[in-house]
Amino acid sequence: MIEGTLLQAGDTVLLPERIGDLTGLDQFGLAGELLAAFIAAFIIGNLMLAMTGVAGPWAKRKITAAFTDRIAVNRLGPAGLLIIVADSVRLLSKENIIPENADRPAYDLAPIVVASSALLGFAVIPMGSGIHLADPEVGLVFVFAVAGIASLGLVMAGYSSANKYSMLGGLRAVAQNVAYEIPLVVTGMSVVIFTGSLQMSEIVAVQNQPLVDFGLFAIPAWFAIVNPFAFVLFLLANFAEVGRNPFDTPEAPTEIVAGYQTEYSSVYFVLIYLGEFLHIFLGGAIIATIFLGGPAGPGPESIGIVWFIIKIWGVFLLTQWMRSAVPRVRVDQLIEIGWKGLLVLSFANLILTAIIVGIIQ
Amino acid sequence: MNDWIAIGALALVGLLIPFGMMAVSYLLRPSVPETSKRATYESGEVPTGGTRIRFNIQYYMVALLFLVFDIETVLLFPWAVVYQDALAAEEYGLVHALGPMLAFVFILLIGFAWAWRTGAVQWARTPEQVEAGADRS
Repeated sequence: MIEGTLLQAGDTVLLPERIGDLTGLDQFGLAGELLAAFIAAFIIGNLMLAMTGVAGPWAKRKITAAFTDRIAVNRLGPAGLLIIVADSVRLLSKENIIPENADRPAYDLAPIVVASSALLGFAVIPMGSGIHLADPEVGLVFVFAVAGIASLGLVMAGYSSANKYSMLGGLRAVAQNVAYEIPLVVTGMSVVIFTGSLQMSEIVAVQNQPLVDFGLFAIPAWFAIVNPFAFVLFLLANFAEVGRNPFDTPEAPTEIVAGYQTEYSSVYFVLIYLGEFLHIFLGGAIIATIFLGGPAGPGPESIGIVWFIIKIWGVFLLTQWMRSAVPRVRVDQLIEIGWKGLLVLSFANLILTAIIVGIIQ
Repeated sequence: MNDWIAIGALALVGLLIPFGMMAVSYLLRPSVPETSKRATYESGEVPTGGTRIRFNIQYYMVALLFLVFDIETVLLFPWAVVYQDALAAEEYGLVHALGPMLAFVFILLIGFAWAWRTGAVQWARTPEQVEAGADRS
């Protein structure tokens, strides 16, 4: 299945170096290095922004419409795709109304924190085709740490809006994020037991070795196949981390208006909305990297980015499917599922994985 | 090339994009101040009372629990990284590689079981549970 696409950790050329080579910037010492890194970061940032742009105003509506037997946006451009442009102009040119009792610095900072923390996580994700910004040895911990900053932004948004719905939404968001962060990280840790490394390129390389070889095709050792239990746990915890059904309690449109984003309008709303979609994609990117073999897939190695984007969108489609198909859990159920269910299961998974790996070896 | 330069560059881009959008919006958007426009949203009613309301103590309880477990995950990550090497090394083997971690998690699980029993992770109680739990501290 993935014959001839064995990636080797260590010999991967990262995007900044590649750009330095291509443009000749690597001859200019530190300044050239900084500029090449900036260009690479700009490319990745805009790639993710473009994906979010397609997902937020267009794909989400189309998918929900398909589930509820409607047509949704179809007037502007082919299949309504130009709604992306129309919507961005519309939202950016809205008046920015700031509630009278808002705590100003925190109220203004919250959307920036939410949006930029999600974007920063993509720095260590290997997206294939050489699009990999940085590969530090602590990659996996880094991405969990950065994704966790978003809850700070949500609390800031909830508290500083001086609105009761926002307050409740912010509190729910933090209770939910702390309840599901532990299962998420502990399940991720069960993958680290197999790889013995936190480096993202190493994690991907380990998964690309064949698990069972049938001669004509081989089943790769993707951790979703090696340890499907961990994969399901991680998917579930990830739904809660990004606040999507059945765990969209912090926003809960039928209970607390829109949760922490109730008082946000204009560009601030865009930033929070953008941050949420970036988080869904970041969650998808983490799942793709540590469970689905990263950019691996049939065909030459150079189309790795296509496979990677397909995998991310697969996870995105799953969240949208859940949104249309699964009802929301109550906030008390949410906490009990997190602490009494997923937490216990994730520790059971970690210990069982450790024992099985120990006995096999 | 240093990885952290590239990560820093993305952090910079991650700040520039929101600020760029805010600048564009600043140029595009109108400003029509009006007295009641900025009132706190409360489903269209006149807002009553402040926002700094009392909320459920349970939010505090789970935050405390999280603190303990979060530190635990930080301590477990190094173990997960060296686990295979420790298994392979002659002087350690399965018992020495796995045993201490099991003991560590077991101690934590005792604490968690206690928190579970005292209802730290249970938000809603049936009337019977409230009655039965009246003498619990």
